[in-house]
Amino acid sequence: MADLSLDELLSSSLKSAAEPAPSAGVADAIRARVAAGDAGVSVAGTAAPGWAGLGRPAWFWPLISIVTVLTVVLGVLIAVVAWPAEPAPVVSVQPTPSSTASETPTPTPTPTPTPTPTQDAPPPPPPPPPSDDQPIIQRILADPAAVGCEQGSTVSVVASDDHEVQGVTVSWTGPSSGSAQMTQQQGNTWTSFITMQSGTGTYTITAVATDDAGQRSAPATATVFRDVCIG
Amino acid sequence: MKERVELNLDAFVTAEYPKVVAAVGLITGNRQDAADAVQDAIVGFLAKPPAREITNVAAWITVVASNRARDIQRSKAAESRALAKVGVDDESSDDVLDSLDIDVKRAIETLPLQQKQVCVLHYLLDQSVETIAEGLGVSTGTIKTQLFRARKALAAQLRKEDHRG
Repeated sequence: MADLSLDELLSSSLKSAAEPAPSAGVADAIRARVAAGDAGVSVAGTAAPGWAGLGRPAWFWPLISIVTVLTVVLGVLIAVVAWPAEPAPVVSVQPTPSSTASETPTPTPTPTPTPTPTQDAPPPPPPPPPSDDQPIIQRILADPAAVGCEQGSTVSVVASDDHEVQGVTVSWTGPSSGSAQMTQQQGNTWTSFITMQSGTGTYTITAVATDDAGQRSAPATATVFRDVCIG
Repeated sequence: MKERVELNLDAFVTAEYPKVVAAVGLITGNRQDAADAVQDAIVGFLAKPPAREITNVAAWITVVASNRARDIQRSKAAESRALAKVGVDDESSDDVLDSLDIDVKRAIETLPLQQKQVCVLHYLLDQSVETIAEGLGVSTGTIKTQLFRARKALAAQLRKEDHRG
């Protein structure tokens, strides 16, 4: 018995014990009973007697299917509602020079729209404001201030402006007169050498600075006395 | 109304009746009562066919007949007890299960009626789970469950008998 599986044991045992019943005359006997109105064993329902209550009822699995579908749908709805919504992409639509642009642009739902270069191009930088203040001559110096046998005097001017000093003009009056554009040395210092070779008297030297806007400074003056050269 | 399949009585009696009576005999333990019950079931099938189309008529007849045979045996048992009270011995017992292996007999006797029915249909008549389910009008899951429980109980019972020696 140990060599047989349970299925083999049951099958062989039942088949060896079963004794086929004789069937001769059975069909005629049954026909006679039916013809005589014998009802035999009457069975109501679709399931075999004794089996109707076993297992799950016919509506069980359809009900499970419906409940499953509803659960899945409910889960999806909860997930959609509870999921944090992404912020709506902000799309700035600017009118383009082309007249083919639609009147009601429909922004694309992409989170990071890629606008065309013409849409969000930064405006050109404004031009620098013109200088509001006129330049100032902070200092003027003539060296030497008294000229004898020397050929002239070097005039130095320190001028400044809130933007830029474009140039400094120096002019002089006295035994002789003239004017010249001063040369920028370094920083705000401008210099010019004024020749003084004839006559005696006082030279009045005037410097005026001009900025890049064309504004002129107040004149600054210095004096140089020229004496007779002895020796 | 759904048309039902006519039972070919001669063909059924020739091909199925001997096996069905044997199956019912093993289920109920009494061959004579089994033959009577099977004929009662066939008469009932012809007089008032089931309310659905049945392909596996043998399974249906086996179950109806085994239930009928159980009722017959209960009536006879009551009758025997009544006769015993007045001193008359009833010698109508015909235990088919005596021809079974003693261990298998003891194991099968412990099974509920439905598990006996499905075991006999499956192991004696070689019917598949699907065929049995169609014949009895239940789901295959129901048949599988009953067969599983029957095998489990039989295995446990046979192990117990094996240990007894």
